[in-house]
Formats: sequence, C-alpha cells, structure tokens
Amino acid sequence: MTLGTTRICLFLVFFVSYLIHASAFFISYHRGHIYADEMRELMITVLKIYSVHFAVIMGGFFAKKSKSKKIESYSFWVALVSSVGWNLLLLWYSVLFGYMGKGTIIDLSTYLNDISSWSSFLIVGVLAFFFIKQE
Amino acid sequence: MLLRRTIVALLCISVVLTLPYTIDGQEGAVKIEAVVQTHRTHDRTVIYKVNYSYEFKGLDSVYIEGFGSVPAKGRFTYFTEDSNIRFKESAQGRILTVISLLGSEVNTSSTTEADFPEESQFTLTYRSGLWPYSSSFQKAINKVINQSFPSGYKAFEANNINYYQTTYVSLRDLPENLIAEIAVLFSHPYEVKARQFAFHIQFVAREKRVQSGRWRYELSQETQTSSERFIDEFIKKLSEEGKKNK
Repeated sequence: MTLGTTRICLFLVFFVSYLIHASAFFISYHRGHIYADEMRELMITVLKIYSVHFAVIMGGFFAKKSKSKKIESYSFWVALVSSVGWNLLLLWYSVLFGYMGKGTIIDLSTYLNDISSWSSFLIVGVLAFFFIKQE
Repeated sequence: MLLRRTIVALLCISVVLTLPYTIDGQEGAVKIEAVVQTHRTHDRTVIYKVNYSYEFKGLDSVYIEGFGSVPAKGRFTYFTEDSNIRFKESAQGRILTVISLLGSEVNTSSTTEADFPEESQFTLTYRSGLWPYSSSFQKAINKVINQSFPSGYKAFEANNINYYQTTYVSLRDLPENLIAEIAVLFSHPYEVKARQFAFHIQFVAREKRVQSGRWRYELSQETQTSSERFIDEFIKKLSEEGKKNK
C-alpha cells in the first residue's frame, strides 16, 4: 500500500461522509421538515467540523512528498478504521435525522458539535501521520 | 404530556375551601376549589390558576375585579396574576368580599408552566363581534375558552376593558410536516349600547416544521388559513353558547 493510495482512501472516507451529511440535510429540507435557513445552519455546522480535517488532507495532497512510498499494511487499516469510526459516530445521527425524520435540529447540532470535539482524538493523529509527517 | 396533565388535574381536585360570609344581611359563599401557583413561560412571573364557584343571595350580578360583571351565581376557572379575588357589587360599588389565594391550601406546580404570549405579540388588527344576548358574556367565554384551550386563559383588566388571554393551543388540518399553535386575546366591552356591546378578538399564531428548533411568527399560508378557520369556529361556538343561555 502506498502513501498516495492511503491518502486517497482517507480523503474519500471524509468526503463521502460529508456528502452523506449534506444529502441528509437536503432531504429533510426537501420533505419540508426544516426551513431553508436551518438546512444552511446544519451545512455550516458540519463544514466547520470537517474544515480542519479537509485542510490537513488538502495540504497533504499539495505538499511535495513521496507519494509512492510504501507504508505498513496495519498502519493503513488502523487509519481507515479510525477514520470510518469517527465518521460513523457523526453520521448515524444525521442519517436518522434526514432519512428517517427523527430528532430536531437542536438535538442534531448539539450532538454533532459535542461528539466531534470529544472524539477528535480518533483522527487527529492519523491525519497528521499520513498528511504531514511522511517525508 | 399526559403525565403532566394528570398531575395538574390531581392538584386541581385536591383543594376545596369554602368561605361563607355575611355583609349587611346579604349572604354569600365563595368556594375555592383549587389554586395552582405556576409561572409564565416567557418571563417567569408567578401566576395562579384558580377554580372557584360562588353565590351571592339577593343580588342579580356581582363584579369580579379583573374579570368583569357576572351573574350572582357562577363558577369560573382561569389564570390571574392577582393573589386576591375581589367581589364587588358593581365596578364602582362596595367590596363584598376579598378572597386570598395565598393560603396554605395553594398548590405549587413545578411541572407545568403557563405558556402565554406577550401582549405585544398580538396582532394590532382585530376581528370584532357583537354580543346581543342577555346571557353573561363572561360565563359563555369561560366555558368556550376552557373547552377550546385546555391549558386555560388569563383574565385581567385595563382601562375599564376586560381581557381574556389564552395560552397556546395546536391548530388542526395542517400538512404533516408543519406544527402551528394559536393564542387568542379577547377584550370587551366596546361600543356599549342599551343591551349589547362589541368584543374584539386578536390572535398570535406561531409555526415550525416538525424537525425545526424554534417557533416562527412569520406564518405560511397554511397556518394563516388554519388560524382564520379556528377563529371562525370559536366565534360560532361563542354565539351558540350565547343563544343557548338566552
């Protein structure tokens, strides 16, 4: 497994997760369960949560680093599981909210803000390792 | 919600206090059946929900301060910010009796709050109705409001006008994704003529989507229509009550 492939995998995990969040909010709005400005508020909340991670990921892509460098297989899997786990931790409530119509916007915003900050230890190290430290 | 209503109902039936009195040979009795002390939701001021019946022999009508002129025998349930109920012969007449709501029998409800809108939230425009019936407007409105607004209403008086301000009640016949509530402010009497007077109805409605976080006061067409229909039905019920007791 190369560093470049790992980076792409991790980027996809975050990007797809963000799209699922956004689609959940759009569906909720489309069904008339929330107002347009509330959908925008939710989009901004999630974008704020993901912006730091996206910044690190994008920075890694543009940095001049050895993308063909081989990495340990277990490192890749630990990174993948941590990233997927963190995203699932945030996603399940958004999916419940948007696709199944459960909860209110206040519940969801509080959950996303609280959980993202308390669980960030799961991904901070991983992203730093794969997108900053690899020379 | 059911548990909350059950607790309030239990509180309401737990107090029965009869205060007989005699003044200048006139006999009267006021039976305070329940007093529940609670708070207004938006400003946390103390408010009492009182349920009482009364009878004053030898009089056709009496005047209850903050509530208006009523028949000499009756029963009312409403919220009041005043901790006393004053019965008078007429608006400017002598005081018949004063009942304090601050006895040891007062129940304090910490589980429920009275969700009254602020007076300033009501629309400045109003609908007007005529009360040509000989029956008591207060009696009719007390009955119809308590039927239509289970959480009750607040009675108060300002500048010789009596006001009855309700708590919020859910509006019906709305799309599944919309929740709306309405509260109403009645005031009377206006344009008093021989045997009739006019009353005014103002309302405030609010709505939110089922997953929204906060109430909005800019209303959708559906809520507007439902509010108007609610007011129409209310006026109809009030007229029927007036005719019934004519």
